[in-house]
Amino acid sequence: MSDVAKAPVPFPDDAAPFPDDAVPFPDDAFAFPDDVIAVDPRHVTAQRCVMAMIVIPLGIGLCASCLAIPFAMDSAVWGWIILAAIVMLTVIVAALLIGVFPRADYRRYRYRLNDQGFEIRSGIFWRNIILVPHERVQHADVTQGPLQRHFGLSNLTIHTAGTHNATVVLEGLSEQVAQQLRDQLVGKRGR
Amino acid sequence: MSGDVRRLHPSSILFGLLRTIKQFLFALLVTIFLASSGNQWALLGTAIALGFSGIKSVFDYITVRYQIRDGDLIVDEGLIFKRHRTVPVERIQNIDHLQNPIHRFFDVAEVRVETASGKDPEAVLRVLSMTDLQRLQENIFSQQSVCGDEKIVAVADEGIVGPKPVDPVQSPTTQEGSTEGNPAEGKPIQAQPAQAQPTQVYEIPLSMLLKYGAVSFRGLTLIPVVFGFYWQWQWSGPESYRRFRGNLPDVSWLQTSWFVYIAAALCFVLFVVLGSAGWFAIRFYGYRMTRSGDDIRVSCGLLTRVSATIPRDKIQLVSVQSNLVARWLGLATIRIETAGGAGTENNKQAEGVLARMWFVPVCRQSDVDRLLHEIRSDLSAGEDLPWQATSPRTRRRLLRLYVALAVLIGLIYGYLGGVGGYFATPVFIGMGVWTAIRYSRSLRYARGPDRVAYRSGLWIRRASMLFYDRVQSVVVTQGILDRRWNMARVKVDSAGSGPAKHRIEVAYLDADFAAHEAAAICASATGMLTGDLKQSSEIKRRDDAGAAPKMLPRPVARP
Repeated sequence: MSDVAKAPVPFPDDAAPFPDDAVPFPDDAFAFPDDVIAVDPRHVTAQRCVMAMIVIPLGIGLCASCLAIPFAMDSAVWGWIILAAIVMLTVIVAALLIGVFPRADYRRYRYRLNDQGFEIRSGIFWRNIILVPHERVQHADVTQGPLQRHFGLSNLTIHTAGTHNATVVLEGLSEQVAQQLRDQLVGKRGR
Repeated sequence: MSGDVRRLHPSSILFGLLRTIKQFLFALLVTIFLASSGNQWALLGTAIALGFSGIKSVFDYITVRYQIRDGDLIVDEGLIFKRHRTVPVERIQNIDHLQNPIHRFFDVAEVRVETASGKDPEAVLRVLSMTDLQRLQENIFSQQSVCGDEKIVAVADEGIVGPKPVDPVQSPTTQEGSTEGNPAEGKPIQAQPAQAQPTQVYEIPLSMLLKYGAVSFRGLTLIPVVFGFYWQWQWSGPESYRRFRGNLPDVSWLQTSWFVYIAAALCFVLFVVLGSAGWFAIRFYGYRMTRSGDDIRVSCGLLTRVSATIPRDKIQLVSVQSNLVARWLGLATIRIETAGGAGTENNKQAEGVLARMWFVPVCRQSDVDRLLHEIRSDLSAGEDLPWQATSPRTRRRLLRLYVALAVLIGLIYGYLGGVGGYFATPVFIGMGVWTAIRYSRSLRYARGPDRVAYRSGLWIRRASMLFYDRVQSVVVTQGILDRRWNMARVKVDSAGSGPAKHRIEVAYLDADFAAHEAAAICASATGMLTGDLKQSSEIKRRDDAGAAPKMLPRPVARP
């Protein structure tokens, strides 16, 4: 073992372990600091519209294709019961996705811009914190889809020279805020 | 030769044709097969296609011209769709070239001119004669020294540094400027005059190449192939095969002898070892690393000779790697990642792969530090870093995962292999436990004053280092399982990712620690590391300790 320790190289085995006495765990390391900002509340409505546009056709399609069940089964009564169950389940899932999810997502979606850089926190089940140092902002775009235009919202897209997170998107900002943020980001970069 | 318009070497017609043939080799084989079974049209089609390709090669030769005029490299090509490309000479980062045996026969080389931008080389000249290449290089370097200003003086001094080894203290730090502006944007390199004498940095003796090649076990990928053959052998095969086999002497008695199996296994191992050693030796024969000014130049190869220039300020990530046997022998590989296109995973051009993935294919571990100094004068292998283990619960989490996996595999094995298979389950569980314990111990993370580092791996150990001025973004993620264990994962993104096959992505960190470290890395990247973030995480942990003694056992420190 001793010669391993002597090896002058990249794999030192004497890594400092954590102190024995303590590893405290706060209840939630992903809790929001005080200075984070939520995006525009209209984002929830916009997200609901997007969700509805995806979920409703899919749900109708699913239910329609299940219409065959009562006719295919020997006992039509059970067939209708199964169909009813499927329809109800679909409605519940759709209601969750359209009614609850966008709101919950919005609650967990914050950003802030401070001296260190730009930070986005997001995610209900899988949580993310994305940090972009100021000087690494290559350029920033403000984009707007038709639905977002209707609600007066914009996305801010930040480009870095990175490979795995080369673009970082912050959705659902009001137009003015998005423009301001972009100007701030690009302005701060130069310092 | 400013204003002197030059052409490719005439043999480029031949190489153009060869390239087409290589690209359409499969189609060509198919047509030959068709032709052999009596389809004359296929033959005619092939002939016409080849004819067209030949004509295209001739036109390529006629139309491609390059010149250096007013500080720009100008490349014209195309007959119908003309392309006129102007590359400012001071933006040129590399002039790489490649020579396979046929190239060498004609004394020509394939040349790539690279700038920092984009995924593709700015200009590819297939092929130039060696004298033309030399003239082009000299021209570009002399032009750069005209365009450049007082910077050159500093670099020119350095050219005088004697032959090897370079004293790391003397090698000037050229990185001061790199925190301002984005490093990946790539600044024009500080040009050196053509007469600057390159300094010899490293050479690899053949014996070391053979030794490392033998233990690199590249041939292990052949194992599935061998198994495939084995099963094929068991299977009686189609009619024609059985007829063929009937003509062979009867060797069925051999199959029952255990001796044959051992002999075959030994032969296979020998084959793998010799094959790996041979591949390594041929690929990296005559490896030489030199440095002139701010450029590191690497060349090697027995058959295909490759030569590449890497500007030091393009280097993003540095990774030192070695497998178990190589560690016993005291050898290691150094890999790097650069900004810009060359050497990314999708772009496996020979020189790109060579120069990044195999930056130093093998070196003694005692030389690692010296070589890292060449990359950046303040870079060392990392014994100065405050290495830390991951979360104390890592081992328990990995144990659960691996034991569950082992049980699953054991059950499947038992289901497929009968009752005897179930007895293998304890073995699998033992392996799982061993792997979990060793792997959790191998994980180390460090946030140094100037760089962030991560090392991992059981069999192949990889230690990667990323300087703060190369950090592009930092991400902390916490999946559902992570949340159960109160852990999180920190990913640090840089401009070059791929060839090193390792990145700064540290899993199994305590969630609060991960969030804190991410903020600190980001702050360091901005150069704004202050206040609360500045104190090392370890100290922070001690402070917190008194408040909440919510303790969990931590893994035993290594003996």
